[in-house]
Amino acid sequence: MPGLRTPRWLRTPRWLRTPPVVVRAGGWLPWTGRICDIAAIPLVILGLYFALAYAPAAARETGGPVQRIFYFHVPFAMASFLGFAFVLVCSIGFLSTGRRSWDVVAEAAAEVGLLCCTIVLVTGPIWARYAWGVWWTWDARLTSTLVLWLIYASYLLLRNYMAEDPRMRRYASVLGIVGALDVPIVYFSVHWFRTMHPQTFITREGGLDPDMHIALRVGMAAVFTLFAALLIKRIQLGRLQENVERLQATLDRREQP
Amino acid sequence: MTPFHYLILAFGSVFFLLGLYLLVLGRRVSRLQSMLQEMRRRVEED
Repeated sequence: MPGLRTPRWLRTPRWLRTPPVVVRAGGWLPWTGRICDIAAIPLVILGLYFALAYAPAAARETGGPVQRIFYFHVPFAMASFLGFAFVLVCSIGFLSTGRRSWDVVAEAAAEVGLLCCTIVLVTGPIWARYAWGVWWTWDARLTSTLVLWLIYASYLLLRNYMAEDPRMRRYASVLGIVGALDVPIVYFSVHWFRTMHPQTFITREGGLDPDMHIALRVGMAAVFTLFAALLIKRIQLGRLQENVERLQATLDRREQP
Repeated sequence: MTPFHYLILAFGSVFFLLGLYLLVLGRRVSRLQSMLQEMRRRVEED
């Protein structure tokens, strides 16, 4: 009966009636993510081929056949630096504008950067055990990388434990900025301190075979594409999470008497 | 352990960690989906 219909202002808004609408994300992220997803798998397979079969074997003192992990270890280290650089830029963006979208990207970059840093900290000691005879040594490069890992692990813990606190985003941004200051220390530690860790590979005088350079570049392409794919997935998840939480809050408000 | 074992251990740990992270992401997506379903149910009950 038309006379008994719920007044228009009391009806559930259309955007709330179809919650899955929040899954749709516009802009360039979805298609870029799709390209990265598609490109990452063949690139990783190619990277594995170049690392395990194409690159020549290294000398025993640099790890012999175990040195092949270098073609993934170094790119993951660079990807973690890139992730933490994203955290720095996005945290500054969040503190200066207050827009949550900056914070979502910062959190995503910290998480993917921490994953890459974990891979570096796991693969490095495996190589070291064979090349140096020990799993771990308190060398400047290794220690500063561990400190970097601990800073960003605490960044994510802070976000988790202060999730309900409105100051969480500001505190996390400050920690994200301070943590990124460790990245140059990690990078230059091999120059600033006496260290066992092999010197940086970028200089041509590093003595890398041209075939090793090619394998390293393929590894870089594979790992950076994988990094981009994971970062985009994590940003999309962060945005979805924000939307779901907003919807949940709206629903809770509506249901309060 | 032979060098081959170290190599397997190193590459294995890379893919294990990547797989673990993808699993964590998948679990978060399914948690969000169940939250969305719960919200849809609440809206439909309205």
